[in-house]
Amino acid sequence: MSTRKLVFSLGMGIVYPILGIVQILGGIVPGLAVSLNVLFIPADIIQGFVLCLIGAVFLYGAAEIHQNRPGAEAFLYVGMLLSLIFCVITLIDLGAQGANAVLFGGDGGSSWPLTQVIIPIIYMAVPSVIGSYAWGRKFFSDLTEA
Amino acid sequence: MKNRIRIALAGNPNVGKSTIFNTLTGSRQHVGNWPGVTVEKKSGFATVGNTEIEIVDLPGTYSLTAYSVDEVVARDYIIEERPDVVIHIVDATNFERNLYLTTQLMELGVPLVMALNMSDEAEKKGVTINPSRVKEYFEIPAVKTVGSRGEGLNELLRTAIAEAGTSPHHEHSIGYGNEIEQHIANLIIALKTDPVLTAHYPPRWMAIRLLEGDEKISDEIRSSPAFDAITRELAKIDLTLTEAAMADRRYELIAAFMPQVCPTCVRGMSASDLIDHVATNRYLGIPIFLALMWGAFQLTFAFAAPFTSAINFAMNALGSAVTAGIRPEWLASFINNGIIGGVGTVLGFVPNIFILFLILAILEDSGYLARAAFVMDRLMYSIGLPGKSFIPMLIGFGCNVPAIMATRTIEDRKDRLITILINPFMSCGARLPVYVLFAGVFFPHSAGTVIFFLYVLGIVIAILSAKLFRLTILPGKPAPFLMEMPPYRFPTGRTSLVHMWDRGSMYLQKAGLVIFGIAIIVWGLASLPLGVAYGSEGSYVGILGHVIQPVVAPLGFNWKITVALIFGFMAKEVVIGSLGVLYGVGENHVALGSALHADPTLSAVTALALLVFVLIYVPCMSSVAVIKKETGSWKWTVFSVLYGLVIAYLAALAVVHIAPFFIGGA
Repeated sequence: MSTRKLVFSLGMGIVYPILGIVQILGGIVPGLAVSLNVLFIPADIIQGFVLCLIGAVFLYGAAEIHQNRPGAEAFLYVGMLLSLIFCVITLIDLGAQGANAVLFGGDGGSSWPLTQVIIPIIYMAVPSVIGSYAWGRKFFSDLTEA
Repeated sequence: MKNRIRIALAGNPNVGKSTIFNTLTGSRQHVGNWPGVTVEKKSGFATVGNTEIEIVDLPGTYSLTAYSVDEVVARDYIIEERPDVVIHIVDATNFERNLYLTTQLMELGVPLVMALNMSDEAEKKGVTINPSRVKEYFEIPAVKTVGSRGEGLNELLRTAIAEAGTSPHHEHSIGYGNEIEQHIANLIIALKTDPVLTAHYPPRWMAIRLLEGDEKISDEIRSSPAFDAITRELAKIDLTLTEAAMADRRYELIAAFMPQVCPTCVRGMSASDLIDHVATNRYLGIPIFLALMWGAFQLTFAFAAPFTSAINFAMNALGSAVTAGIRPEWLASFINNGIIGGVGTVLGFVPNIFILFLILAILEDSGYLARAAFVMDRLMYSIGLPGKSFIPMLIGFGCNVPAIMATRTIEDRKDRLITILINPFMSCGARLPVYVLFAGVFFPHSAGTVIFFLYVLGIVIAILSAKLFRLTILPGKPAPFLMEMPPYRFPTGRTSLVHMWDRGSMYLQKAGLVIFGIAIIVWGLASLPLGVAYGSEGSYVGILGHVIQPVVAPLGFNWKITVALIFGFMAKEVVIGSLGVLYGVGENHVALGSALHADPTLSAVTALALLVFVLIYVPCMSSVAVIKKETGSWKWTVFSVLYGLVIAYLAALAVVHIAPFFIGGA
């Protein structure tokens, strides 16, 4: 059992769902959204669900790693992969909104406020990048070679 | 009174089959020969509780092809005598090698139970097979046994008795990929023309055997009336290549399942195995699929937004030039309102359609969609649908017409009918422009989420309808799920682009031909009788809208929306084209979105009700025609149309009454 992987999975498995639940609550409870915006947490139910899901994958992995089950690390790798995928999707979304606004004056504003960019689904990918570099190099290189 | 069942023991040679047979039957056995051959036949009896079990020991075989007498005897017994259960005894120390026979037994369509024999020796070697995972992946209950000590044998018999009494029973089978599956489907159609053959042999199994060049089955069909049709179909196929491809598919599936069912059997998990470990997880598989689909829609709209803006910009500029430079006025109106307002507006949504198809093609080519089908199968079965229905439902996200045609691969008539009837609830690409427009105008900050919910709502309605149909008008048991597990791979750009173009061009053709024609009709109805203001209440279109509008008034739809919905029956994209014409987008150089937003009779709630109505109501004219063609029945076609209309009306009405609590009223 790798203690570092366990601690990492557990940490991500706790923080992701907390942020996810807060985002979901922001989308449900009227008035909470404004307070959350100050904390750089958007009120977005679906994105909150995605954060909870990524957290669940990590948490599942933590339990499997703790029990030393075969294939337990799969949850860690896939958790990091999902974290990166959704970060990239959100960045593309923001980038396209920005491009659309600049080129055609479409919805998305003329600038990128920090509250749109520094959001959990993006900054939570940072530990995943570090984790991928530390443990997932073979996993990710296998994927890209397939 | 005692129950009586018959069990056959099947397995590779030297897996401890005879030991288990002897332990189970003790002295109550009979030894003879199988009819016509000198292969020893052993049968005996065992009693468990109130059940008397006849146990037949089949000859040990590595496969069920007709290459040896043992194989012919084993498979003929299973097919002709139809035992209540076949216990497949596998050597747990050599698990992977035994699974090839498992895949062939699965194709025979008999209830199976797996005995993981010699489990003690396997565990000493560090090999641990997870019986619940065997059940999960193969849909075969598995029991660990040690035949030499009689361990697990009572549980094995009890499981077999339970399996014999389980009805309906879900089954998994091997999927051989689109091309071979199409050949199988064609052969099944040919085979079904001879009821004697299909009464004797399972049609799918027979089709597979024919593709694998089984001489015994080829002899059987020689005197059948289906012979000519089968020969014609087989003549189109390179049987040597097909046989090899089919064996590859079986090994591919075994290779994909091995690390999941027995992680200690493999040296190390590949990246593909690791992803499968999570993506096919019982609890996480479906949420991950849903999240990725949401991500796909987010990406679609993100990428498409600048392109859509560019097209709209160009259309507006063209509209201005037409109005300024073309005379007489009616011709300018025709070009601006009829052509640019109708077709032009729809073209603005082409980027969304193409990008969504590209992302779906990437997911398909990466191998992920096969896993999605696998995880969805559990859900599908629980609602009374065969796993095979998943693929037509998925294609339905592109266009319902090919999706309904794709149900041809579903052999069972009731399964097929249910899949056809629920397919129009899958949100086809044609509905996307309507979603994009209304969600963008009335829910600018959560358009992606609204659209995602519409897609989910379509799935939910399809599921509930399937359950309802299965419980009422089309009762029965779904057919087995065809499993395919190609390894994950990075899709090549060219393949994905070709897939995107194939599906997207279908939309373009519809946009170019059908919508053009309808836009002209709408323009005509909106311009006549002579002298009325374009699209006014006095025009024919206004009169038509006013006649029907009272019916949809409880849903909050004005007469323009009503007219657009009527024309939407031709093709759902036309809703936008018609609105473009009715709101005079071209003439006034005002974006349709702004016109809708400025319309005081429309609100966020009305928009949501309209979106729900568009999602559910009458499939387009082309879909209706295909439903008629594929079901061969006007009764089911009319039922499909009316059912959709009633559900759409009720759902939209529910939105009108419930949505104000969530989105702040009208």
